[in-house]
Order: sequence, then C-alpha cells, then structure tokens
Amino acid sequence: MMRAAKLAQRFLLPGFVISLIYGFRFRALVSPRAEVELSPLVKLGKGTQISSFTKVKASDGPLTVGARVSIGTGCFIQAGSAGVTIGDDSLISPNVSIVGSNYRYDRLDIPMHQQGEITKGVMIGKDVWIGVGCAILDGACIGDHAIIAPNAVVSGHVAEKTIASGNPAKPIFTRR
Amino acid sequence: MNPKLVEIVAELFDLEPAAVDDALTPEDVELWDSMNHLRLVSAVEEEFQIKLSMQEIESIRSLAVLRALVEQHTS
Repeated sequence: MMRAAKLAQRFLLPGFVISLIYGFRFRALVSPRAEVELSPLVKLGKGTQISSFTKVKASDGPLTVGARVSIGTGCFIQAGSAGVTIGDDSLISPNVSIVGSNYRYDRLDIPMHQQGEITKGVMIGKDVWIGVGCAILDGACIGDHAIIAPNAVVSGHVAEKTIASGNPAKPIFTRR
Repeated sequence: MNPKLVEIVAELFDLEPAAVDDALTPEDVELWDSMNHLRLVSAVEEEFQIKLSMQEIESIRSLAVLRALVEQHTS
C-alpha cells in the first residue's frame, strides 16, 4: 500500500503541483520541470530557486537548503542517510552532482550493490559558489565563501574563502 | 630576473625559461587566464613568503609589475 502510494505520487503528480506545494510550504521557487522528490526530509529556505531538469532525491536522508540558494539547471542532488546541507546564499551552477553516499566495496565475493552503502554526509557552507559540472561527493565539507572551479571533484575538506580546482580539488587561492 | 620567479612562471605557463621576460603579459601567454593568474599569485606568495593585497593582484598586467611587487615586498 505504502509502495503504491509512493509510486502514484512519483508518476501521477504533475510537476507544477510539486512546485506549488514547495512554493507554499517554503516560499521556494521550484521549476515545474525540476524533479524534486516530495518528502518531509526536504527542507528549502525562503527564496531558494531550483531550475528545470534538476533531480533531487531525498528519500534516504535529509536535504537542508538555506535561504536564497540558486540551484542551476540539470543538477543531480542525492542525500544519503547522513544528509546534505547547503548554506544560505550559495550558488550551484548547472550540471553539478552532489552525491551523499558511496557503495561499500570491501568484499569481492558479493556484488557491490549488495554490500550496502556508507554515508558521511555533504556539508556546503554559506555563500559558496560551485562551478559548472563539479562533482561533490560524500564526505565533502566546503567552508563559507569558498569557490569551486568548474569540473572539480570534491570529496574532502575545502577551507573557507578558498578557491579550489581540479580532481581532487586543491586550493589555488584564498579570497581576501 | 629572480631565477625562482622565472621557474614558477615557466612551469605554470608551460614556457621555456629563456622565453620568460618582463614584457610577458596575459595577452601573450595562452595559459595566463584568470584562474592561472591566481595560481601564479599563490605560488609567488608561497615562494617569497609575501602577501599581496587584492588591488596589487589586480594591478599585475605584466610580469614586470609582478617582479616589481616581489622586489618591493622582499626588500
């Protein structure tokens, strides 16, 4: 029954209804063409925008987005059980992936999808700008006012005010 | 020019050390974009143990300016 309700919600609820629900509940602007899961674990701040073709999955864990955050088109955001947090005033450019869990791979005798997942969570601070095409992986912790250059891969700590680039993302400059 | 500065610039912009001179500007060097500009400043600051202000960083329109700034801060 629960499953049927979930499926019905996923396939029968049109995008504009979800946009309206998030608009009324959080005063957030979710594009009717974005695919944001309707879940009590999703918390959006006032004035946050989620653009079209962005997919947000938050059935395993909490997704907390601050106020006035702008999430570009074509992003993928998945919160693992440890959750994903995005601070106020952050800018997420198009095609950024934020993935909040990893498969375990300690054993060779059983397939990885049966080994379960590990999740440490993703923390993105306030006023952070993430460039086009970045991958923000589980365990990433990005300090306030940081900038992540396009196509960087972040899975560890980026200190506040740092401009980081590359795979793995390394600091190249400190904002002043 | 300071050999360390030449070394940093040559490595960052993929140039022959002999090609590095005062007249070099972002227009001449293909790899000298805004990102590598910041990389250059970070590398120079670390090498010479100096700290440039944002205005100084923006004023670097050629290698001569950077060299002058390094000399001014290290002397």
